[in-house]
Amino acid sequence: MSYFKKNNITNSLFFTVLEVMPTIKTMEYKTENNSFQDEFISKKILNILTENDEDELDDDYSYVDWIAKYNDISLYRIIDNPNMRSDVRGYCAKRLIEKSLESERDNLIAGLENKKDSLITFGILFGLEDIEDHDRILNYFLTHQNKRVRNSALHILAEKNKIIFLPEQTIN
Amino acid sequence: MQFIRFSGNSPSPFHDPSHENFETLAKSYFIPKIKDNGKPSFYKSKVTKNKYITAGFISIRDKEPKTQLLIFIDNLVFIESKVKISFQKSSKLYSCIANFHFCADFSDDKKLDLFLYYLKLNLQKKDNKDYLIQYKKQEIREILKEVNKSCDNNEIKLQEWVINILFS
Repeated sequence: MSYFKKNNITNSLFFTVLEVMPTIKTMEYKTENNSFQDEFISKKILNILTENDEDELDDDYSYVDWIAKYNDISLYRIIDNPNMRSDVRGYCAKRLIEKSLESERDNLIAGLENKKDSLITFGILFGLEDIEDHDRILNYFLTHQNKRVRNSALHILAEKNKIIFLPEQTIN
Repeated sequence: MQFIRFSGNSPSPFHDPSHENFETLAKSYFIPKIKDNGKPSFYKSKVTKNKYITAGFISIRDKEPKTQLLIFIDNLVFIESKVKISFQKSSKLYSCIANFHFCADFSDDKKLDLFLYYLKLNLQKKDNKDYLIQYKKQEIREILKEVNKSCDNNEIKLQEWVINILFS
């Protein structure tokens, strides 16, 4: 029986990811002591977002950078967990987008969007902004159902001079 | 009248005040730190001074931030939630912005909940660009350099990382 069936995980982002990297991801996912580690990472990310503990910030950035680079499966797991905070899940999405390959990005975005959480969508958008993927940002501006997402996409493009923005313009 | 609350990274709950968990999520961004004594800092917004306020706030930080988020909050939110916000002297700040430093009294947790309720209602009526600004590292450096040219910062010892940016 597969890990996903055994744990009753359906419609998971992992299904998308596994299409890209089937073996490595599954092995890591099975062997780690998940919940403790995920809570720990989530706490680090929350401090990066809120800056409530400035003394720890550098260490938290370093730790999350390391996780994003060498153990990104933890980020996928946090996104897949609806009990985790939405802003933290959104930050995980941002980091995954930043490190994604062009060839896997559409699949990744589709999996992330399946979570139906606006802060994950904002995470995607800001990840795309960081890697200057203006085509996909334009797609968000043209097609996304959330007006705030469309407006933010428009402003990112306007700041980068990728689109002419009229201050009076509003989106309905 | 508006107040600025400085925050860290994105995405934050302020990007979508209509989020179903907005109040729970946003609470973490206002809970007073130990050094706040129940009264976290806000800065009175003034369009012509906001770059100075931002530079002043950033330059008293121990380390260079990677990003800096500014959330503009209407005074009406404080009034409606009956949260007292009052001027607070701060010896750490430059005199040119010291008059803009305020503290809100969130020592009563119920008041913070009420504040978040009215904040949600208030932000829902606005576009993100009307109450949110995010500066990235390079923009932060430019603001510091720009403000340093026109403001005498010698009155307060600058952090080493600020000096490195200004004179590198």
